[in-house]
Amino acid sequence: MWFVLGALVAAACIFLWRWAKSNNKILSWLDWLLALMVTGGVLMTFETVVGSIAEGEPRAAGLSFLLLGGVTIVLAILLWRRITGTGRKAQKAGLSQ
Amino acid sequence: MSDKGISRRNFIKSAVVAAGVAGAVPAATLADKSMALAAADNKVYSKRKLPWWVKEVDEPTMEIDLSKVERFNGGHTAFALPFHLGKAKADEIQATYDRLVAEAIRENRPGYKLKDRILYEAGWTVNRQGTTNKGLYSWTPIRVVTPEKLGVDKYQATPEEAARDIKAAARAYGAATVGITELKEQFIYSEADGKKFMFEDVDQPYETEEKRVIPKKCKYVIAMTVQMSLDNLATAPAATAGGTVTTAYSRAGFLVGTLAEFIRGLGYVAIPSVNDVGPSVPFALYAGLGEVGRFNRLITPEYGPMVRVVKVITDLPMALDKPIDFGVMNFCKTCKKCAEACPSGALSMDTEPSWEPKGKWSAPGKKTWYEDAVKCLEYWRTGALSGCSICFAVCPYSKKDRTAMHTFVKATAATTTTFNAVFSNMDDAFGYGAQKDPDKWWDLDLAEYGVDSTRGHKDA
Repeated sequence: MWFVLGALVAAACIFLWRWAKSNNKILSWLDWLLALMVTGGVLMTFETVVGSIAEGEPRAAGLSFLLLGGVTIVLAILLWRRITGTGRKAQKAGLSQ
Repeated sequence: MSDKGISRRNFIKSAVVAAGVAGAVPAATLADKSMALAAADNKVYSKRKLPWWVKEVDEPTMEIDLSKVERFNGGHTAFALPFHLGKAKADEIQATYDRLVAEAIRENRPGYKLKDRILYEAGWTVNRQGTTNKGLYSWTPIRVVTPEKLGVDKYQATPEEAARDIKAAARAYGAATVGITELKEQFIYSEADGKKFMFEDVDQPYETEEKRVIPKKCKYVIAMTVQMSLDNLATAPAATAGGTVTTAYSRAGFLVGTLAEFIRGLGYVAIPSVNDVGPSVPFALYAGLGEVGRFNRLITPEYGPMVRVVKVITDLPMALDKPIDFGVMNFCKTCKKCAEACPSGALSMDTEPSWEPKGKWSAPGKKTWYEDAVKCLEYWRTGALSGCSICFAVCPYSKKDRTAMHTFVKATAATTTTFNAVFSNMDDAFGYGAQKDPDKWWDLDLAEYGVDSTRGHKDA
């Protein structure tokens, strides 16, 4: 499982870096921090869900997916709105291009 | 600077955060695996490496007033139903038990079918190869050749080296965790099976028609745990759950029997004991194998309560371990899952532990949540029809270790009491402790004994 998690982290970093480069985006430290939290959230959700299923605890897996996954999705939306400039605060602050 | 991308200062900030997060995961994992230290620096590591969230303390978290602990009559435990309830009532319970067991088998009730029943019964096989000072539990050599017979000097080592060697041997013979403490005579039964346990200034243990004698020079107790399978326990109170209990007792018998022979082979006295010479939990508590929880069983940092506890008494001088604290006593004050789940109502729902025993089946002198053990035993005979074990199964510390979330919860509970109620409620909400289908247990592809023997050890 650790190999899969490592691959997921690497893929997320490469994707973000390439996406920012190809779209000529400049990311602030807060964007990177959020990206890190989203990546951490995905990893934690994945690890907990897969682990709970392996333990034979489907209810724990489902609730972990909802709770951890939910928080991660909120963070991901926040990050997306910041780096695409669709967020109101992001537009006001001019943090993205 | 932000409009030109990330600044150096900000980059460093981010890097520190990233390094912290990246470092926390493997660090916590390694700590939880009870990383054994490398012996390259020639230091003797007699102590097991505990997870970082487990603290060594001077006294057990369950308060014990040794001046009030009197030696308990082993014939008065809850198993002595005729003593506590009278012979007529005990006979009636036994007759009900025999009838219900047969009925359940005939009705093919899930968890109580013939195969389930025999899984439970056959699990005892090795354990029952003897009793106190007989067979596997002999107090004198069974077949090992002693240094005296070989004409060589007996084993000589520093207490630290001896502790290390004994712990390694114990693990090789099937111990999950091992701790060493001094022999407190208060915890040895005053008598059992009509014979008194005595301490005398003699070289070897011996037994007569009236007494069993432990040499006074035997000042050390090696306390050990044997893992039970959560996959079995999760089917509690069915007989499939009892299957792991009885099998663990047999493994315990093998463990104490072989370790005692090992010690005798080194030239020292060894008295193996499961629950016969005295209860094992007090020694495990002092030896730092765990804490005692609401249902009065040992709860370990590695396996929760999913263990049986055994011991070997010896005169081999060894370095002692200390009791541990990882927040169990405080957690149990908030979490009453075991008491709520107990079908017999035997477990205390009080928030605070007490010094007052609930009956003659409990020894006084400790501040705990005393149970109505006879009520518990009655349910074993007339409801569960085996060893019940629901309290073991529902305990929030009974978990497999396939996700780091369990370590996170245990570490947090060990550090602060703030989230104990949340954790207890979440445990329920997440469905932990719900009874699993005993019929499906037979379809599982489990490891030997249904346990993960690599848990808690690095060099596995």
